[in-house]
Amino acid sequence: MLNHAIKYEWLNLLRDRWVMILLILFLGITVFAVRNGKEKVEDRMATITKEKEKMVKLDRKMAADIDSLNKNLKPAPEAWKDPRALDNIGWNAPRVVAMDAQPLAVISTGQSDLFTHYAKPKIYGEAYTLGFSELSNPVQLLFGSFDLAFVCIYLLPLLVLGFSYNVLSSEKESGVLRLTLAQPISLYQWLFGKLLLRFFILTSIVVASILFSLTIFDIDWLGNRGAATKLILLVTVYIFFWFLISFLINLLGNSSGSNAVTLIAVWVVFVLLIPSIISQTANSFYPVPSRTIMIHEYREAKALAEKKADEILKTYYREHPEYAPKDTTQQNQYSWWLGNFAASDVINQSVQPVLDDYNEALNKQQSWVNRLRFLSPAILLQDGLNDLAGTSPAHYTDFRDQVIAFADTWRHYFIPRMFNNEKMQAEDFGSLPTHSYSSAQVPSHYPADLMGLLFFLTLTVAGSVWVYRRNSFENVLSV
Amino acid sequence: MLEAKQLSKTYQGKEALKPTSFTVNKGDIFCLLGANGAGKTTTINLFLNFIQPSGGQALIGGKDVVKEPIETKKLLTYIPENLMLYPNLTGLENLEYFSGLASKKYPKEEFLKFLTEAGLQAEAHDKRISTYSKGMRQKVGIALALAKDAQVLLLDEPTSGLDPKASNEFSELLTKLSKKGVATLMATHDLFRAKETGTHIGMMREGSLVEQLTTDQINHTDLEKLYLKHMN
Repeated sequence: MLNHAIKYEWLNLLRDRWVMILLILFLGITVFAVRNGKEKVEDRMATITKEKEKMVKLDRKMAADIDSLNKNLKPAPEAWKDPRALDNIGWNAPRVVAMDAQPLAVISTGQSDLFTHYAKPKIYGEAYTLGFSELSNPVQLLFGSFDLAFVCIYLLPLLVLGFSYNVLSSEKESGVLRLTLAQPISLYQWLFGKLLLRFFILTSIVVASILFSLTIFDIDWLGNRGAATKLILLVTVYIFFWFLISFLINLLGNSSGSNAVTLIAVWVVFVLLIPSIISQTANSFYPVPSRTIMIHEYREAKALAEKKADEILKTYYREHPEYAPKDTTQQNQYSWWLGNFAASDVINQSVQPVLDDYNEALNKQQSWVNRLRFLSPAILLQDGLNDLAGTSPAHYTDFRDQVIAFADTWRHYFIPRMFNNEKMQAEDFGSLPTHSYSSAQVPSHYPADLMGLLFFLTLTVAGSVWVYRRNSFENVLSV
Repeated sequence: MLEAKQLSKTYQGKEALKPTSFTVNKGDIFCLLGANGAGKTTTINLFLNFIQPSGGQALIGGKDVVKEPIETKKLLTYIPENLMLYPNLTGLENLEYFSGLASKKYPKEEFLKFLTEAGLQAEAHDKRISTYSKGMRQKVGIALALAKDAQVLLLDEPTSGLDPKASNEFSELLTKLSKKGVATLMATHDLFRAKETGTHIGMMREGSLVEQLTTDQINHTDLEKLYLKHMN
């Protein structure tokens, strides 16, 4: 029976011009969204590549210069330009610490338009601790990004609702339902079959559109089948959730107009209202201290420490006897830096509370949002997609930690050598610390997001059963 | 084949159908006459299990329509005043679809035969329903009765709004079906058709069946007089 009903429902849909137009439109929108995502990722990767190339070129030049200087083929430059001086390498030839795009980065812009994707930590300075926000296009911030995540979260439910809001009511209004119900069938099975078919059609088209768009923009989803499957699974569950909402509303037996209004209201609540309430309350409950004040305090502490550099250095030597000069007759060429290194510990200690406040507020905001995301399937999907795209807040926090850790590695490569008054050699370029990005240690939200969406599914099923039990046949038919 | 046993329906305290009993046997065409709101459609809706009876039973083939809705619906075909079908499907496809819902499957030629037998001209078979007139749609309903091999026909003012020729054709089809043994319950305002086509007549007023007679007991004029007597 179900097969039969599905066959003719399919025929009916095929001949409905609007349905076809809607679906073609969706394909177009998906292609456009993936193109936008691709453009952003390409920009991001191009910048990183450019920086890395610059770095390699500079390394090569410096190694060659050191070689020439050692062979006395060139006159020695001023000390501040000498490539043999470690401070010049540590300061002028920093490594590029880059956050490479994940294979499916195109699907969701996430936080990628708020943060930088590379940093060049030097042997000294605050840049890597503070400078993580990039200015972004205010117009884009206003409207959000037109990426695949936007299409799935905002537009897809509207498509589902447009496709299903009147599945029962239109038959009732046109009068066909009376003939249908005079046949030996169960209304609910029949209605569910109709919606199931529409769900399959729409999901197939959505999945095909997504995979088609990814393919034409050269995204290797076949090579990343795991992530692609997760993406499809998440979107499918989200579509199914909206179909079930529509099933539930249809079961109430109201008119098409009233179904449409009710469903749009549900959409507004889940997709617009709850997310904006969560974001508003996050800001009100856990306001983040001003970043300007934080930077100001940092600089004040730094200025103070720099004034007392000599004194601090003496204390530092007491605490790190291994760095104390062995040969006191010879002046260390890096003496200016050594004072600063010593001072940086003091600065860090005094700024730590300010930094902690700032980070704690951010963390609290984030964990508030993380907990409340279970209130809306739209947030869950956004979170899951960001997770797959590697553009979630957790990814950026992790990248920031990686940069800070690498900055430390970089400094600690140079500090002992500088205290020892060593020089840079051409072959040392090969042994400079390097960073390679990995997102493996970012805790994945995906399983929880999927479970959350499944929980919403269960709720809707329970709601449908409740309405079904409560509702009488007469209500649905309104004879 | 069709039996109402003290069947009644009350809507929010208002009795739409007072306890009513009647029987429609195989081959009978039982015409329900009465003003709007007399309870004709309520009676038919009760047999269709579209509404729940407040009292009594509606039986089709001896089975209670409330307890065995699927079984009883296998036996019946329903043609409302304005039979609506899927406008994007052809007459043939609609017939195939609704027959299939009743688990009736035939080769295409059989379905075409049913449509022809129901009086639908061959060139209309493959045209979409959106191009059909009301009379043509009613014929698809009759074809459905043939395809379902229905033993019971429930008709709710099926000829209202049809032109006299179409109305006449429809009546002929009913007679044909009745000869095959189909039991028909038809609500109608058309006294002439009721007398011509029907075998039995029931008159309803304010939810009660006030008169039951067979059509051979009465002529046209007397039928009209009797009807007006009950209505006033």
